[in-house]
Amino acid sequence: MSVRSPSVLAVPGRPDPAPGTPARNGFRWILAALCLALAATMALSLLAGSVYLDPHAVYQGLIGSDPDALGHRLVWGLRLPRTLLAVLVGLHLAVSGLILQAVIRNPLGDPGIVGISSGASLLVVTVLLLGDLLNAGLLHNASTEISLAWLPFAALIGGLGAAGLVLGLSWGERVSPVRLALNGVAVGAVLNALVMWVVVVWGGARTEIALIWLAGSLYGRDFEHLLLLLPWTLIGLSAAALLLRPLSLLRFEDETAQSLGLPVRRWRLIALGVAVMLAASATAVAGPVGFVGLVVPHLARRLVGGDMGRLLIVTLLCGALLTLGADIAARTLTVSQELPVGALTSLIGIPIFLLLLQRRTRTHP
Amino acid sequence: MSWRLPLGWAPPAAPSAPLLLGLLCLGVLTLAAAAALSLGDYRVPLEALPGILWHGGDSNAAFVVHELRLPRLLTGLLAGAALGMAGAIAQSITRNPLGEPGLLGVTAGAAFAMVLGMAFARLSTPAMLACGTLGGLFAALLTFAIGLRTRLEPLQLTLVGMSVNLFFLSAITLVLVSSQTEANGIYYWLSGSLANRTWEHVGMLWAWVLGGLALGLACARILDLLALDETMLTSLGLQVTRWRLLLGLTAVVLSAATVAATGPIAFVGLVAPHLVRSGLTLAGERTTHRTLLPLSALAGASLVCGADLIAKWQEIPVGILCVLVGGPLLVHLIRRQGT
Repeated sequence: MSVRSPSVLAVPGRPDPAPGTPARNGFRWILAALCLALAATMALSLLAGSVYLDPHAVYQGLIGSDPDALGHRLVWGLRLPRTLLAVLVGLHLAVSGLILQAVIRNPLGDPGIVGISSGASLLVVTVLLLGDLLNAGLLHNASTEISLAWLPFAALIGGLGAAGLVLGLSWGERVSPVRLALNGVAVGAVLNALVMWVVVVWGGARTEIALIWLAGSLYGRDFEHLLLLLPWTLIGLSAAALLLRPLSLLRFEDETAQSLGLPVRRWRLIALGVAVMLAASATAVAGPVGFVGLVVPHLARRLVGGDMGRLLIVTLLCGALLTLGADIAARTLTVSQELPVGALTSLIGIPIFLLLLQRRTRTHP
Repeated sequence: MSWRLPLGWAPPAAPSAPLLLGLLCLGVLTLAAAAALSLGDYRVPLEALPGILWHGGDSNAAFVVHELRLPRLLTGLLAGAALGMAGAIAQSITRNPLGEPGLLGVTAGAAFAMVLGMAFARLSTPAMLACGTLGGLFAALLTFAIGLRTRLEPLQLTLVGMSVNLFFLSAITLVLVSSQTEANGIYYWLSGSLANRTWEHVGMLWAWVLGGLALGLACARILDLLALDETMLTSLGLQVTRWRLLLGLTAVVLSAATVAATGPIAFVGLVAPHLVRSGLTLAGERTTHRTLLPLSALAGASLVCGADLIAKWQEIPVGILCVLVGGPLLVHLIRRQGT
């Protein structure tokens, strides 16, 4: 999957600093700080919750052999899978946002805004409820486990369809950021209305579950969900790593990229496919968690500048950090009940979105 | 597109086109009303309807019509009229073909304020309405304050408004979950529904809607003028900002009242005025607000009543159907806006 002659494809713009220069050292420090922060947050995520566990209990629960101890059940049954899942979901969404922003050359690119989340939601809800209906109809030994494994595929199809629709509607000579975002929100509104329709008409006993899932939540996820997501993470991340060079070229005008030897259309499609895959599989497991993919790449760009390889690593870490932090806040802020993470990330993300929108219009009036 | 008015020469007014359009809307409305009153789990024969409506009586049919179906129909009618009118006003004062209370964040802001009221205090109906109006006003001001930096360019303003909208929707979710109120009913209300409306809802709406309609009609002339160049208006002695604020407040009150009665029903305010405008343009008629406002109200009412008929058949919230109609129109308008 690599592109011809790498010497031509060395990214113009910021030259790579030699080892030992301040910039490279700076990157190392940033990387170390982020890894440390992520480890600390993961530890906090194991400690905090509606029942606070002290570090000793967590340690005992992690390695202890007594399966009935409270620590063991909490850590292995609830908090560890949830923590890991939050990390994976955040990483998926953030990397997806990074790829989208590079490919459509648009600072407002985000899996939610491009419509991936709503398209994936529609198909996931349909499959969930249809699976339930089929189970009830065929009866007896048909189990819901079967439908669970299909969810990422359903989400993928929905995400591809919706993203294709939104991008197709707004593709001109170049994708105007504002028009893309507006089309995305409009298509998203229609798809969400369809989701509500499906839930209200077919929901029945499952309405409550569907509504909670639709708000974007990591509540009640276990290792099964984690295993479901993991293959997609591996495929998506390796694809993203292989895409680094085409991605850094796709940020330029088509002619420039073309003259540097990149078959633009093909790589653009591949990159979009990878972005949709990452976002859709995360949505299938956690529901729509908004605006992570929008905010994190901008943050990463502030931290390490424009080099794609560094951006990818930092984006990945920051995405995991943000989602995990939001999840911890979601389950500790209110005592009685959990807040949906998706609502929380939207609440943080929308003001940043507006800020980006304003800054963009000020620099390019 | 003739939504900005040409100055000067006015063609000899031929009242036929607006009249025809009005009659068409009335026809649709009558059909929808008749169907809404007679169809349902309990069939009321069509020929018995006038008698029941006129004389009442204590038969089952009279009870069903008077206590169940008529309030729902009237609530839908009033809400649709208010939304259509509010949309027309919003489009004119923001000079923005994409203007709509829902797209400017007003409905979500009003809904948020009301959910706060429902969750943390037991407010009376007028207090709730005032609460919603304040919330809607706040959201509108927020949208404009942010949009002002981008010189109120239509696409930008709409994008800001929709983001404010989404923001308040997430805030509503958080309030609902954290306050542990009876969330199910509120969820249903949040998608905009006309199910189980009573005379109380009609009572809540009618005064505001009729007042808003009258005020809007009285200001039709001003609305015509507001489409003109701002500096010229100022030099002509019109207090532009004051009128804009007054009319904007009218639109906000109209939409807050509908939110209180039916929950947020989106996109009607966008669709109805555009239907009327394209109808008038098709007939070669000049659009003035004296015809646009009442026709938008009528079109909004027939839209909501028609959609509610389908919604009743499947028992889904009517707001969903309105989004399904309005979303594609919005996409179409966005396309045209750029070229």
